[in-house]
Amino acid sequence: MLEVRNLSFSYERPVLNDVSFSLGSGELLAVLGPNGSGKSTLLKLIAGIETPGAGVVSMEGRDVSSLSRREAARAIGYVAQESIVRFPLSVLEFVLQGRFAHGRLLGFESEEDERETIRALELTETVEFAERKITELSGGERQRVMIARAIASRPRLLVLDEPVANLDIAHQVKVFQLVKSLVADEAMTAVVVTHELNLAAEFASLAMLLKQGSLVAFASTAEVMHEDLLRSVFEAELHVDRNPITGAPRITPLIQSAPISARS
Amino acid sequence: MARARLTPRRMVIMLGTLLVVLIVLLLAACTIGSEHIPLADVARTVGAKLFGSQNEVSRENSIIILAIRLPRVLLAIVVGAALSSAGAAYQALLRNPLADPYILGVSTGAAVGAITATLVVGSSPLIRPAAGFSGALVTIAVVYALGEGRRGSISERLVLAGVIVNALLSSVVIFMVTAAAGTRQRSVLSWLIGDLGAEWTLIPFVAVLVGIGIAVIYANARSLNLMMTGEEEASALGVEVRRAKIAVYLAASLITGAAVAVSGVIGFVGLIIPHAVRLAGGSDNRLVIPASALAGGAFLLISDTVARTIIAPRELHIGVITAFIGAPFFIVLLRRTT
Amino acid sequence: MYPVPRKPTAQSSVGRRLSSRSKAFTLFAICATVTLVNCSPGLQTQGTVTVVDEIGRTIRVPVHPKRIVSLAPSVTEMLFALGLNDRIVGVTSYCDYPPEATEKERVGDTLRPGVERIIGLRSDLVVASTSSQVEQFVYRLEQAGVPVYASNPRSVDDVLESLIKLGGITGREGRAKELTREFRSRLDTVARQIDAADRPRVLFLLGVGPLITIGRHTFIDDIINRAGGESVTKDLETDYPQYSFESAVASRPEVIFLQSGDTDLPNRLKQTPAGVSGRVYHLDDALLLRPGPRVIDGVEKMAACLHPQLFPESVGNNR
Repeated sequence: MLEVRNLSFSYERPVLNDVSFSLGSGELLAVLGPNGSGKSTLLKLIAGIETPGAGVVSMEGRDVSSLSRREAARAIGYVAQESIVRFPLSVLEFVLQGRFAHGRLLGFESEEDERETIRALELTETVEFAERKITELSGGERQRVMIARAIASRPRLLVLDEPVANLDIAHQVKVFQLVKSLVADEAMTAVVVTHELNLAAEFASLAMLLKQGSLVAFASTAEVMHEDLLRSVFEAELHVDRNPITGAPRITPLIQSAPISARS
Repeated sequence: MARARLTPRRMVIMLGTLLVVLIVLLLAACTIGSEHIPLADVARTVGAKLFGSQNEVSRENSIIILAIRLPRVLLAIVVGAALSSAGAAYQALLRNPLADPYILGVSTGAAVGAITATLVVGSSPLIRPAAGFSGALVTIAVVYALGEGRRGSISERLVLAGVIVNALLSSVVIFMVTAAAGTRQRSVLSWLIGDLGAEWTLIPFVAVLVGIGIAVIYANARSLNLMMTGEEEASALGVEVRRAKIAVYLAASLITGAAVAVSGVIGFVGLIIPHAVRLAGGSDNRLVIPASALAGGAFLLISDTVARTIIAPRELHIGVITAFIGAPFFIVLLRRTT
Repeated sequence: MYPVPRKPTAQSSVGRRLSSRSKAFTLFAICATVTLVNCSPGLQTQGTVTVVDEIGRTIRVPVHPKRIVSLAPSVTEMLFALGLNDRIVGVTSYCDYPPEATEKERVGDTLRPGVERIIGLRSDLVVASTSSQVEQFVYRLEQAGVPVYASNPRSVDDVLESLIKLGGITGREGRAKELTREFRSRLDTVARQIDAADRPRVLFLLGVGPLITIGRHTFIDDIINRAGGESVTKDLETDYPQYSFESAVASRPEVIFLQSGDTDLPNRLKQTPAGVSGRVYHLDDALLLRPGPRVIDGVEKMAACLHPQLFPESVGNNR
């Protein structure tokens, strides 16, 4: 469904270097890697917000950069890392914006738009906020609302950039569960950039490791969450074993604390 | 869910109300002035002009209505509409509720042009606005060129470029004002805080330009709604961000430039009217843009009527009135929103 | 220094007590003081006199000031008219009449006179005019010991009185009396001629964008009255108010005066009686706006504009 071939991109210096992979439908792909490895940029290229320097991103056989923004928006949902809204929009208004690509430029939202919006709110369990101002929501609530907006247009591909970065553990789990259910129940495919290695291990079916713009690994989560691989990519002392309850890979950092010399 | 989003019904109700208010104010403003003229006489005079019918109204009153008051009243509406919708557009485009139409330096550029003309030729009724508009155009181009760039958000770069250009041009304006002597200086200063006494022949041009500008902004209202939440997010949702940005920036700057060229730098209108409209009707730009235009026209109409009647036969500067009403209102607004 | 031979007088005891070195020093000090006194401005050996200037300030001015600075074109004209040519050492950059004034040293413009320059010229009298708004500089000049006489002409009569007073403090009383006699005679002539005539309604505009006109207490209002006209804005208390076009039209002015710098009559005023009849004049600003001796010319020229049939030989330019 999604195919990335020889994708390269640079701002002033190279960010992505010859990345290639393909993704079928019904998968939840976790994109992992240290800071500055090009993960966010990869997502933007997939969503079509940026155009590749070289290479192609194709969605269901069509080159994303050749699509109009509206066509791309109907097929691909994008959730940014953080959204600062200074205007008191209601949650309903905010999520309704997700239907933009389906409407006329000068028109009002149709009944279908309203139905789909409410459905998106229901799926993300945010219906109760519909009339509140988006500026009043907490981090976790706002994140779910942003996902609602991204799925309001029923995209086949959902792309999320660090969706749980500022959330507490309960909300982190909730958001991942939401994405997983969307993949399973709504036949979506999801690509998630995250730093939460353990949550990625629990929820993702596929994982990708990026380091300094190059693709280091792309395989099932179990295969990618390999201790030597992770250590070399993250350049950290990591220990990988199995979660005794869920059976998923469990990643723990090993902290070597230096002995505190006693003062005499 | 009624209040939560904009429906066509709400829009019609709000805009309809504003339109009615505006028309009532327009009629009132035609009768009020340093010479009170009954509405019937106003109607008779206008009718005589349009249809060639008999006009029993006194000669002086006819002149006052047709040559002085009516143009002024119409200009107040046009300028108020221009500044308010430009302010609303900038606030959405720059994602900053505190932006006003002068933030990107257009008004200062117009001031440089107009003041130069005043110093060279005196307060010529056609040359000064033309020079002002030229100054505005140059500034728009320069700020845009400076604010262009691959990296960084559109709004940040534009604001930065605008602030720099504004600062530079402001010092030029101050220099020119101090260099002017005697009544030229007075004319310059008077224009700087707003003067709605422009020539009748200019008004149709300005009205058409402003109308087109507001229409362009309105056509992008839905895109602006999305852009208010972030440029990348808007692009991901299907907005042609670059195209919308250029269109809105140009339209808002041009109508600001036209308004300033013809009537000087009238403050507060472009800042507080969009705020007030949002408080009453929400942030959806499909409502905010046209409502700001109507409300802005009404507000400036009221201010102008006050300015020319409160110490009649003398006149107060309109910039004084808008500041007087605007500043306390703004304080109230701030307290309500925070 | 060797000891001065003692004289057998009563002072010899003092002379004995003062040593030769202290005598020398005292002699030197006395010489220095005398020199300094003679060199500093304002402290004349000739003496000073107390006068009250035209805004009620009491000042000490020299009996015969020799180095006069003028801070207004009107004052310059008055001083020259009094024949004080040789005693004027500084004028402003706007002082252009009479032609001899342009050869005098410039001390700045009327808004910001150069105080250092005035002090450097060792002026012993500065004459300012309230029409120029130089209050803040007056203070600095007085701190430096330079007396400032403020002239405050609010009417044509004030101008004549100012002439007399200036003549008085500069020792030119005779010339002042002569001038004022001649001026009064000319004014009386005009007054006689216009006595029986109707007074046309006059709109005097100092600016057209926006309209700036003249109030009741201004100098120009007085000129209009003497020239046989009636200012439509004669009831306004403010001196130079911004006026509305509507009131200008409603007042049906028969004659409009514009500043020489303004080009044309604004379109909105073209339907007034003045606009229709073409009685729109540009008079020389220097004649009407300077409260100096040429104001008499201004009255005569304006009278000729307002009553052309009474003064056929002199007509101002009109559009």
